Amino acid sequence: MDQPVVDVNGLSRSFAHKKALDGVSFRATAGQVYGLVGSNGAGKTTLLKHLLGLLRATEGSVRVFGLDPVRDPVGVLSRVGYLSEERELPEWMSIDELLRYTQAYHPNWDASYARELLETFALDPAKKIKDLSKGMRAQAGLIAAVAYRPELLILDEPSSGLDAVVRRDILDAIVRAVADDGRTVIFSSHLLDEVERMSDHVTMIQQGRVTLSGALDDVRRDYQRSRVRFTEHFERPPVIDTALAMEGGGRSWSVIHSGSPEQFLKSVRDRGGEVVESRDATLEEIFLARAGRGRPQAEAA
Amino acid sequence: MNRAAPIVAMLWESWRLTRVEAAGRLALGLVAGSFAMLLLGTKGATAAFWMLIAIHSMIWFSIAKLNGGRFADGYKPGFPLYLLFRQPVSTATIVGAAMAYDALSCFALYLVSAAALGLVFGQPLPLFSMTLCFVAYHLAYTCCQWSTRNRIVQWAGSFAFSVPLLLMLIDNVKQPLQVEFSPAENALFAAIGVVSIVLTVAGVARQRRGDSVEVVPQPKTESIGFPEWLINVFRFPCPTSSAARAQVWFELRSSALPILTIGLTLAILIVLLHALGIPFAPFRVVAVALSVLAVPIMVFTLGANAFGIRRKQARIYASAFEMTQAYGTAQMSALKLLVRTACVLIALIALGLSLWSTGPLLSAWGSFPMGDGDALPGWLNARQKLADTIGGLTWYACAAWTLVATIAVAGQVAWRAAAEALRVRHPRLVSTVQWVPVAWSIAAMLIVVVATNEIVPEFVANVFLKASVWVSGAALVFSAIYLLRRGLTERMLTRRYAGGVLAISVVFAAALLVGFSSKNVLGVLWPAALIVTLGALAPWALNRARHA
Repeated sequence: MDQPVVDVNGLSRSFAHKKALDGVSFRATAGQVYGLVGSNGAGKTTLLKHLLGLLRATEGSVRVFGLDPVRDPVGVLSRVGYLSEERELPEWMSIDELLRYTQAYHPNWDASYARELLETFALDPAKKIKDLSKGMRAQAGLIAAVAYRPELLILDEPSSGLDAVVRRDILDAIVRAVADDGRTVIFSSHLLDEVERMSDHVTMIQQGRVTLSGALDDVRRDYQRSRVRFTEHFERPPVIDTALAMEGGGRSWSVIHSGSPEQFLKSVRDRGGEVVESRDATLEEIFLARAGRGRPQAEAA
Repeated sequence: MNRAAPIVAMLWESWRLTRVEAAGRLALGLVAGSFAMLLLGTKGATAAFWMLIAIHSMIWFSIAKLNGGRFADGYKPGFPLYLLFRQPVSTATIVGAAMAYDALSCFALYLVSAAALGLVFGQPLPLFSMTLCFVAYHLAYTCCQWSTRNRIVQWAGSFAFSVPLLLMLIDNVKQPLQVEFSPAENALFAAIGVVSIVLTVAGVARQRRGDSVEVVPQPKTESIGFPEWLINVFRFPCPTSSAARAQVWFELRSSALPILTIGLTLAILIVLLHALGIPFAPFRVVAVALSVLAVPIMVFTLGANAFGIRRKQARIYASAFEMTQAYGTAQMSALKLLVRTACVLIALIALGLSLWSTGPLLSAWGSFPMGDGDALPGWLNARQKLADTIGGLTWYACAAWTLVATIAVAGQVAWRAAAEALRVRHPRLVSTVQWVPVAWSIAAMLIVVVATNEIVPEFVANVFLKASVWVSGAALVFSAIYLLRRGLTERMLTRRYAGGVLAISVVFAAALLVGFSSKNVLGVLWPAALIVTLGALAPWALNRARHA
C-alpha cells in the first residue's frame, strides 16, 4: 500500500485548558482533494498548523510524507504549498519580489505557470502587497503557494471574505493544480457548497473531534433526506430510529437520517407514517444535522 | 448604568495593561536612584532626580505596544486603544481617560519614588512643585503620539515640545536641589495640557471616523515596523539562486538596512548639531543628548527583535509567512542574527567616527554650563585620555578589543532576539527572568549598604557577591550543555552550527585574555559560557516560536 501523504494519529492539543484537538486521526493519500469542515473554533486551522509544523504535537503523531514537520521542517515545507486565512504576506514587498523570494526556496519553480496565473488573475507584478485588496492578496498568495507545483497544497479558508468571482478563480486554480498531475489538496472551509463541489473526501470536525470522515460520495449516500407524512398530529418531532434531525410540524416532517433505510422505514411505519419522498442529503444538511442544529427536541418516549 | 462605569472600565483596563511595567519602573527608579545617592554623595540627589525624570517621563510602553509592539515588529502609529472605538463612549471620554491615566499614574510613580529616596537618604527631592510641568509633558507627548498617524509629525512634534520643556526644567533646578516654577510658567504648563487634550480628542476622532491619512491598523495583515520609504531607500532585486541569499535579502530589506540608514542618519545628525551648536547655544543640549542616547538606541532598541516576532494587542507570534519557508531553524536564526549584528556594528562604527569627529567642534563651543560649572574641559580631557589609551594599545590588543566588542554586540542581539521569541510560548517566564538582574541589584545594594553600616560583617557581602558569580556561572554552563544537547537531539541544531558557536566563544575568551591581560579565570570563563548559552539559546527560542 502507498505511503499516505498525511498521517495524523490520535492528535490532541490544548490551549489554556481548552482542548482544540481531541484524539484526531486523519489520513490523506496522493491525488485527492480533502475538505475540512467545521464551525468556527472547531479545530480546522489547528489541525492544518500541525501539518505545517507551526504547532508541535503534544499528544499523538503527525507525519507528512512520512516526516515529522517539527523535526524536519525543510523536508516537509519544501514539498508543501500553503495559503493561510490571514494572508500573512509582507506588505512592503511587491508581487514580483514575493514570487522571486518564494522561488529561491524552490528549485522546481515553474516560472511560466506563475506568469500564466498572474495573467489569469490580472495581477500587476509591480504592485505592492499593501496596495492589494483582500482578494488580490489571496490570489498573490495562491500563486506563491502553487507555482512550484507542491506535492501537497494546504489552504486554510482560502475563500474567506472573498467575493464569488474571486472564489471561483481560486477554486478553478486549485482544480487545475490537482487535475494537472495527481497532487493532494487539503483545504478547510466553512462554505459547505464549496467543499461539496471541490472535494473528493470530507472530514467534519466538531469541538476538536472528527465526527465524520470519508469519501464525499459515500458520505452523501450514507445520509438521506426524507419527507415523511404521519396520520397522527405531532407537536414535537416523533422519535424515529436513525433520525439525526427533523424539521416540520404536525403531520409533515423532513428527516435527515443515516444508517439502514429499512430500519428507518420500519420505524416510520411503526409511528403510523409513510415516506413520501427520499433523496441524498446535501453536505450542508448533513453538517447541520451532525452539528446538532435542527436536532429534534424529541417527544417523550 | 452610570456615566462612571465606562471610565472605571477603561481605567481598569489601563491598570491591567501597565501594572507589570509600573512595578518595573518603580523598582528601576528606586535602584538607580539609590545607587546615585550612595555613590555620588551630595550630588546624589540631583543625579537621582534626573534619573527619576528620565524613567517616569516615558509614556506607557505597555499601552503604546498595542499598536503592534516594539520598533521593527509591525508598529502602526496612532491611538493604541483603538478597540475602544467600538464601545458606545464618546471620543473625549476614551481619550481623556487614557491621557489622564498616563499622566497621573506616571507622576504618582515619580512622587512615590522621589519621596521614598528623599526619606531614606535624607536628601529631599522636588515633589509637588513638579506637578504641572510633569503632567503637561505627558499630555503633550501623548498628544503628539496619539493624535496623528503621521510618524514625521509624531517625532518632530515630540522633539519640538520636549526640548523647550527640558530647557525650562533645567533652568528652574536650583541648588540645594529644588524646583520652583513661576506662576506664569505654571499657567503655560496648564495651557499646554488643555491644548494637548483638545488636539488629541480631535485627532483621535478623525481616526475613529476613518478620516486620518493612514488606514486603521488591520490586525490581520503582515506589516513591518519601518515606514515604506525607509525600507525602499535601498532597492535591489531578490536573488533567486539560493534560499540563503533570498533570506539575507529579506532581512536586509525588511529591517537591517532601515536600521543602518537610521544609524548613518544619527551619525550625520550628531556632527550637524555639534556644528550648529557653535553659533546657536541651544543646539548644544540637543547635540549632547543625542550623542549620549545614540549608542543605546542603536544597541538596545534597533538591535532588538532580530527574529521579527510580532505583537498585535495581547497576541505575540512569529510570522507564519517566514516560518513556513523551507529553511532550517538554526540556519534561519544564524542568518537573522548575523545580518542584524553586521548592520548594527556598521552603524555603531559610523556613530563612533561621528562622535570622534566632533572634537574640534566641541572645542569651538567655548563652554557648556552644567550645574555650577563648565562641563566642557572635563569632556575634552576624557576624550584626550581615551585617545591616549587607544594610541598606547598594541595592534593585537586593538584586535582583541574589536573582537570582544563585536561578539558582545552579537551576544546582545542574540539575547534580545531569543527573549522576544521565547515570549511567544513563555511570556510570563521571560518577563520574570528579565527582572532577575534588577532583583539581584536590589539585593546586592541592600547587602552592601548594611555591610557598609556594619550591621552585618563585611564578609557576608563578599560571600554574596562571589556566590552570585559562581552560581550564575554554573547555571550558564549547565544551560549551554542542556541547550546544545537538546538542540542536537531534536536535530534542530547542526554539528556545524554548534561547532561555530563553540569556536566563537573560544575566540571571545582568547580575546578577553589578550585584551584585558586577565589572570582571573572566572572573569574569562563566565562571559565565554554566556556566549555559548546565547548561541544555543537563540535558535532554540526561534524553534519554540516556529513550532509553538
